[in-house]
Amino acid sequence: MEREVVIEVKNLYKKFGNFVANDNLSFKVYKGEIYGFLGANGAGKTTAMKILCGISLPTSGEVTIAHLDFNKYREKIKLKIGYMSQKFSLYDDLTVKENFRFFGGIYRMSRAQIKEATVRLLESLDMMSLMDTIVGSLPVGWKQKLAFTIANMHSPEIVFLDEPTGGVDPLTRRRFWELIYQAANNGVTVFVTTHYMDEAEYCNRLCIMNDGKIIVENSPKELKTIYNASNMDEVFLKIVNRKHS
Amino acid sequence: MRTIFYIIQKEFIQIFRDKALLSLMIIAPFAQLVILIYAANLEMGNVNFAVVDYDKTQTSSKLVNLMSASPFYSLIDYENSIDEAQTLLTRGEVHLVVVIPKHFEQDLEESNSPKLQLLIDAVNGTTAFLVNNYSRYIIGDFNEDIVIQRYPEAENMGKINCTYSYWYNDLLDYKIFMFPGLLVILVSLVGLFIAALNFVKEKELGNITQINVTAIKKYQFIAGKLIPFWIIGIVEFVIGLFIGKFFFNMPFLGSFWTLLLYTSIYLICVLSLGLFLASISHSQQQVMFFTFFFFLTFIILSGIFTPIETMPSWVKYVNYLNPFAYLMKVIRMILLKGSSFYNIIPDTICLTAYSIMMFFIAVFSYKKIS
Repeated sequence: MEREVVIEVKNLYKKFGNFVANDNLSFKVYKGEIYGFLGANGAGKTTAMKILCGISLPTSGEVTIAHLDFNKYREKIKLKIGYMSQKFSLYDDLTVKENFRFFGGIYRMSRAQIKEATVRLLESLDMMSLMDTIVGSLPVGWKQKLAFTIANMHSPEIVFLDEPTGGVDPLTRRRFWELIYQAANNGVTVFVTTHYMDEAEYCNRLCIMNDGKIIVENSPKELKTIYNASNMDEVFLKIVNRKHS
Repeated sequence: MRTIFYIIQKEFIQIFRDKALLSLMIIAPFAQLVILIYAANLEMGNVNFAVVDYDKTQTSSKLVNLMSASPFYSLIDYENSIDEAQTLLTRGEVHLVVVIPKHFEQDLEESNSPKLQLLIDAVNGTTAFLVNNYSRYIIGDFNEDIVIQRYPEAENMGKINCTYSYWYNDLLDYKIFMFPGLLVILVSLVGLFIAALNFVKEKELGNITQINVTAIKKYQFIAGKLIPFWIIGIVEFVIGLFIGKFFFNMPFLGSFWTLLLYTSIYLICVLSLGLFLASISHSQQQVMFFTFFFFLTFIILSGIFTPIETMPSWVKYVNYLNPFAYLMKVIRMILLKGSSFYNIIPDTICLTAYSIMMFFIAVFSYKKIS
């Protein structure tokens, strides 16, 4: 059976002056997949994601997201995607409920839809009691869960997560990933950038980037076999070291 | 429309939750209004003066008595020499030294063109000018008395009797001139600074990225940022007007609604300017510098302290692009002269066009894509 392609990138370049941040990227992401971009800081992951989310323009290349051509329907695409960034991006001075209401409103949900979704989602997170708590006073791990939930609130086809679990311990990260799996099971495509190796293991398919280029793309399992490594850490070091030797 | 509503709602919650900013926004402008209305004063206050009397005659002491009898002048000291008097002038203890030369009385009696010297501290040119004119006025009176004493028949000879009346501010009360200007500062502060800072803060915290990945329209975002501060600005303006009217008894001759309409249009213009400056800035420091630069330049050129007519003629052209000047002119017309809507139609048309243009500049300068 042919799988449905939801993100297709062909020959994508992004240059800042002489610096090439994205060097000829081409890849496909399928529906319901958890697709990871793995790379060191400055490898070009975030730059690529910003282009896919429509907040940065590519220098050249073709991008199709949710069957829509990026150049023509950038704003239309934005209704079909969710986004959560490494810099925690809910409003710290609003309560949990107010954040839900605001982002739901911005995503053109009706008042009733917002109310229903807020209760349903907070119940599933077991955070009903935090409804009227100021977001700034919550622990980082909880904020990240909330941010992810709000990014999914308007039922997007694809969610983009830019280093979503920065600054938390592996256990909290594991809990966060349970949410990601839940979303993927419901047919949401998840596109995630990371530099945590344990996080990379959780992805269905991985794309390893270095110096703006895609080095290799495969499932974590295949990668470990190919590079004869016991974990992703080894795979990554082997790839990066080969590059530099 | 619904999207704009959600932004406005969010802004109001944030504004009312930030207690420090809120109290600053309420207290600062009104404190400024109350304090500055007394302090921003160009009138000639109490002038201390010293006398160097080389003549020491009845006539010279009569002149000195006449001057110190004035409610504006107080005699500090008699000095023996000009040098000593100059020390007082240098130390700022007196603003005026009257030097009466030897043979002053004698020259006067012999019609031998008597001389008198005034040394005036002119660090502040306006005050110096007033002191000079006022002193000459007293001396002229004194002189006339002497002439008439000697030649009674000269009293009504060839003298033009000029009568005058001051219009719109009959007591020449500087407060009445300043009050409308201070109101302009009051509403513009909110417009320029608070709105601009609010926008840049959102950028610095990174929340703007979360907004930019949504399908929100640029005009929706700018309007959503503008409207809360527009409402706050109008409320502050109305409160300021009431304080002026009921606490300081400032004149309010024209129509309240005309003024309110005009100010509402004006606020769109300054708020858009503030948001424009914010969208081209990357940090709070940058936007503070930008807004401060425009605020200071515009407010001084708008004629808040001194009439535009006394400024170089190019100022008039600069003021076509100075939103503050539009309000400064019209607020004085409406409050002090009782000008009606018909008198301000040209200004209203220009300001409206400018506000629309500024709003679109703000919208276009806001980039959802970096």
